Amino acid sequence: MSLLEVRNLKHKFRDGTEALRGVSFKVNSGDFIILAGKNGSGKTVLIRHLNGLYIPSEGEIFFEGKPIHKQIKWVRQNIGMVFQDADSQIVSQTVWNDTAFGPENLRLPKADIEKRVSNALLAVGMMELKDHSPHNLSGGEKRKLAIAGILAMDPRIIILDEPFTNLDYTGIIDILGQIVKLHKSGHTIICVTHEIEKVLYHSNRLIIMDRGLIAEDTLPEKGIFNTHKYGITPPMEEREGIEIVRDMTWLK
Amino acid sequence: MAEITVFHFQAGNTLIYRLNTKLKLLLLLIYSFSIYQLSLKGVLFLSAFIFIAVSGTLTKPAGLIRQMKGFIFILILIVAASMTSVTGDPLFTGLPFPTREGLLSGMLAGWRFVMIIILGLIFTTTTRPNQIHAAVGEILKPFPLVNESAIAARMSLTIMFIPILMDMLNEIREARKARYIEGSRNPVKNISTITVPLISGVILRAGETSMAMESRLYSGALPGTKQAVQRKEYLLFAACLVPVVPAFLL
Ligand SMILES: Nc1ncnc2c1ncn2[C@@H]1O[C@H](COP(=O)(O)OP(=O)(O)OP(=O)(O)O)[C@@H](O)[C@H]1O
Ligand SMILES: [Mg+2]
Repeated sequence: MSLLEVRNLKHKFRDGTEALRGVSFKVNSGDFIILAGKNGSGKTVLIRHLNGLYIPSEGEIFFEGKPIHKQIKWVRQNIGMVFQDADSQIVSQTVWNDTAFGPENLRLPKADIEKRVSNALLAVGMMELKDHSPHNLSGGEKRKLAIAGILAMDPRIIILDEPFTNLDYTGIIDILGQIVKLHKSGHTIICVTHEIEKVLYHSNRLIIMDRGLIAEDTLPEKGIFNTHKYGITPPMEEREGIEIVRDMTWLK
Repeated sequence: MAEITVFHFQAGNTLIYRLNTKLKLLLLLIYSFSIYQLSLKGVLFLSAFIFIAVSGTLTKPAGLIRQMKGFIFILILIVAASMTSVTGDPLFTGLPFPTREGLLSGMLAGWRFVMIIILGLIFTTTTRPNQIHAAVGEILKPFPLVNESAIAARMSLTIMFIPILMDMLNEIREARKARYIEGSRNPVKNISTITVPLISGVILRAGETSMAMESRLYSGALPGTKQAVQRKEYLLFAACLVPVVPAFLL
């Protein structure tokens, strides 16, 4: 049984926009999926269905074999989501409290909350900033805080929406390192990005979206030759796919 | 982005931090009420006490003032409104306004406003939002027909949004500067080029934030932590009330 399964998902907004037009795919435990596609192809809308933030117009989503709307709390606890805009995710006035937000909503005992928060902050290397105001952090730190906030909920799947936008070089390296570390520690990763040259090497699957549909769902070294059709620009070379993919990381 | 710390919680360890949130909220109400009821002398007396009491807590006042430019504008409006509406002895012969009485009442109104802002600052700087949330919930709990957890949640969310609003206001100002809209002489145009993006921005941002909160299982319910009031805290509370009495006699 796959960990997460999406069946024929459609989403039509009230203004008539058909953002998703029949999307199906499965996520297996341990996957590292890159979800790519042009602006407006439906990536954000798709992932927001996966933990029940958006309700599908049609189709169904299963987590651990059960429909997600029947276990929404369990699903949100297990599928952590890092949003595209780091600022809008800030919900508290200190780094520590912000990280504690999820576990507090889970109604865990105080000692457990403290343990989870400190583990999460240590994992992303933000412990020294625990009393700082999140609004004043750098872009990279804000995103690490968002990661810590979902780590503290102990999820199985972590979804990141455009985690590299608005970051400078060191910020990107830092976040990329975090994502790879999360995957190595057993998390299933779905990373939405069109900057595939930064991260594709670490993934085991490349899903490309195009106008509300999945256009490709293959191994990175196969999909890499088709990306240009969908407005994603990797360096096209006359080499084996595996060799090209090997260069596709900023972690050296 | 400009560094905004005003109205944010900041970790610290002065006495005010250790006062129970419910008592602190009560003090905030009593002080605010007194400041609006007291005579000029009384207000000055109480202000002096407040300044002494918080001198160790609100450090870097220059930075705070710089961040609160928006409030200075409101302050000028308040003072100007009193100065041009109170009749009495004209200060300049031949001109009906400003009057001596108007100037005094304007200054008093302005000073009251400043003190209320300072009290709000002290409260939000020294109290964690989840403590505010819990305290408001506890205070409202005995009242029937009041959904205390919903009100408390809304209140702590509102407080949370103040810094976001100020952040966005600054961003819009910068964007305007970059597009040379800054210097428009038409005040209506000026206001609308700020408020329209501000409001639509806030709505968008609030939508994103509430979705982010929802995905971290926020339900608006009260946090389970309850603060028991200790004897020491009652003493501190009583001590803070002492100067209010003579202030009313002045
Ligand atoms: N709330 C909404 N109401 C109406 N249409 C929407 C809404 N949100 C998204 N859309 C539309 O749905 C489509 C898919 O949007 P989505 O945000 O998923 O794109 P994306 O692939 O994430 O793009 P980007 O790379 O720019 O983030 C777009 O055409 C967008 O305009
Ligand atoms: Mg998007």
